[in-house]
Amino acid sequence: MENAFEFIGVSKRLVKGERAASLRDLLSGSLGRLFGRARAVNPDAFWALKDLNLQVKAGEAIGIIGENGAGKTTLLKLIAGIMKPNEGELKVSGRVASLIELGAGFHPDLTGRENIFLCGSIMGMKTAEIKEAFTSIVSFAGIEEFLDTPVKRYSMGMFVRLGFSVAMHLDTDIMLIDEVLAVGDLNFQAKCRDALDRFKERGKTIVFVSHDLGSVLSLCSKVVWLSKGKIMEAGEPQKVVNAYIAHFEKTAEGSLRLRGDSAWSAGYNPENAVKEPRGLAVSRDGEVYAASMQGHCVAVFSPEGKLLKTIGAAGIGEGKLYSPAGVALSGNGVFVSDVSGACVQKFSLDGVYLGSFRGEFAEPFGLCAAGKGGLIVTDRKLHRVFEFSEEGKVIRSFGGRGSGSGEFNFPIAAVLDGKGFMYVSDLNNHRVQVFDTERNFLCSFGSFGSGPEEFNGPHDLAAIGNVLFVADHLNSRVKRYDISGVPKKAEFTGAFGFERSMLPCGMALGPDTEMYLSFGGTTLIGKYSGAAPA
Amino acid sequence: MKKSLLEIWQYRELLGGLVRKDVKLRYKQTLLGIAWAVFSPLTLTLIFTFVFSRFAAVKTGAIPYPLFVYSGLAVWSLFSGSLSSAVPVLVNNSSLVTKVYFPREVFPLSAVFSKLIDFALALAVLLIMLPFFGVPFSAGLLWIPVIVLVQLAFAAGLALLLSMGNLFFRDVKFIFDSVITIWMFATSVIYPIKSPNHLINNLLALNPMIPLIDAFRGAVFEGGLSNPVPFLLASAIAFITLFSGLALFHKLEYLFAERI
Repeated sequence: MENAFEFIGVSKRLVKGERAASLRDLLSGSLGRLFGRARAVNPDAFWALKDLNLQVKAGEAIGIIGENGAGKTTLLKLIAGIMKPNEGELKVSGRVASLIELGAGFHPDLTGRENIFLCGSIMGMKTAEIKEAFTSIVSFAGIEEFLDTPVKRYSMGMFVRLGFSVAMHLDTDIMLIDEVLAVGDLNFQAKCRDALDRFKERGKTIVFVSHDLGSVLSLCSKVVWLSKGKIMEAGEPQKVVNAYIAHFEKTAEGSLRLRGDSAWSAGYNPENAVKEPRGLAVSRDGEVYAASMQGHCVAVFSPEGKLLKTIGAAGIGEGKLYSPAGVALSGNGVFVSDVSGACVQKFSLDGVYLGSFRGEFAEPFGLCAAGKGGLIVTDRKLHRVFEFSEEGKVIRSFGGRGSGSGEFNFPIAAVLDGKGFMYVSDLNNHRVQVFDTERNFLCSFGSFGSGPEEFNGPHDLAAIGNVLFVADHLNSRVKRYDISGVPKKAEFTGAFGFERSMLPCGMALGPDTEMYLSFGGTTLIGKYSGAAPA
Repeated sequence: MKKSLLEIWQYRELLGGLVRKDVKLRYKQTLLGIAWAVFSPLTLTLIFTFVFSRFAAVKTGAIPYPLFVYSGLAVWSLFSGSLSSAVPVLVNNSSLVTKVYFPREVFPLSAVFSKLIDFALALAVLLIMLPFFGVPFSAGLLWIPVIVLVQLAFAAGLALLLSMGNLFFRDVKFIFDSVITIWMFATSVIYPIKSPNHLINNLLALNPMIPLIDAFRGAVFEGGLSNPVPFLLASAIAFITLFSGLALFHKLEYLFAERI
């Protein structure tokens, strides 16, 4: 079959920041040369892509994955012809359309109708083609009633839907898609997927750049993993995605060695229900409850990583969630803390709204089940910890802002150990404090830093037997402590590190001591074995 | 060159769309709408007529002074207006320049062409004014399309060069703002330009806008090209500017997305 495009030893150098933004820079540069000062190679220049070889056949759907700055967007821009390679050769055959930014061609003051024509012709459509596709574009975007409204009055959703709709009607051979599928509601996303599938069926080529590994797996027939401008691995999607995920789990200190469950991390999050997962909780039969800050819900997964259901509708009010941060299973209920809603809500395991724990919260964050139906809530804005009885009454609250013993600066999570002692991660004081059953201060451990016993923003906690786990957020690692020495001292026994861009925030242990971790700023939840105390 | 012209031709509908957008947006949410295209030169004409009839006598030969000024301003606004909107046009559209591929020439070219609508209106008003000042219509008017074409070529060439210059060095816009004002006073816009100084006259001969405006006045008021040689020279300069603009623009276009 014919190649849609081919990279032959392609390298592209880019410059960080401004480049000779004014004549003065240019003049000082040339004067420097004039007076014999050798001009060093621009220190801000770097290879966004280096010696890239890649062949893609017409009709393939190829996924590009990699960390930020890996060169994914540069690759798309080269294919689109927006940039030219510094070295090597790039052959592209056919018409290329780039959905690098939806609605980039829209002008806010023009109406939807005018923008369809303008945007279509920017993307290379002929007026006659646009006229022919017009009805279809409008109905796909679902903006019939707003055709003659300036797009500046459109909601974000309408704006993006219209942009996508125009792009989907392009008669192109190669479609470049950069991280745009996560737009609109679930209904529209399904429509987009259908449209892309049809596009594929017509033998067109798709290049799909995304952090959303689930979408990559379901759409693409080939995946390329880029890192620092080079291809790390390319080929069969599942294989490449697994290698990509395994790459994040690479360093171990001490004796803690976690092993990622690749099926889980790869098959995570199938319908994009989880965006920015935070707090996690695992039920007795191993179902995983994940609070999705940006997905405005709690997503429930089977132990195999299939999405079972979501709890809560987006919004503020009874039964609605806006920024759910913590989740806990206590008694027969699911408790969810909502930072924006300033409340903790209780749902049945089936997701029926049961009531709210209002308390005096400002920004309730971490939740922890306590005994028979009780609940512990940390409020990161009031810097206090609240304890509730099963009936939803405040038994006690303690804390207050400060850096002394028993004071907090952003208490973000709490956990109880077998003896009933409470551990609170004190985020901005970079320490974990320990309290006895009467919540008298016992000890604290950790200080700011990246050394083995230091923290950089300790997040979630999990305890089992004499072992305490701390998600050391900005140090990209999970640390393990032996807490048999408490009330005097907790002893560091090991840490498991991740690639720097992976910041563990939520953490929970399942019935077989499998560990679940959620990663800040991503859609990723990982399942790990190896956390069981030796 | 041939390739770049062909590509621009393929995207002619986009060029048309951008021109329509420019015109539509320029007068959107204004009360007078497109009447501003005529209102501005008329106001300036009144002011200059007042000033120059009261304080300094300007000899404009057979052409009544108000018509002299108005015709000069109409042509000059087409030139300066199209350039001042073209200079920042690539930078203002940076999101498109960095994200979508199409010949970037359409931006500066559409900025130039969109001023043509204003000029057409200003021209219509000029033609209406002629009988009131006792100027007869002549066959010389047929020269207008040719003269306008040469002007467009000159403006388009400069627009390509300056918009590109401004993308690489933002200083260009500031330099342009000063130069265009000086340039107007060094052109026969509001007074016929002639200097007793030989050197200055030679310098002025390098300014293609003088023969272009003079040719326009000749076509409207004197029944034809009164002075064809300078006009031919100016036309040569105009097309050389256009072609070198197109060539350079095409050559450096690939750098736009990363240097903007």
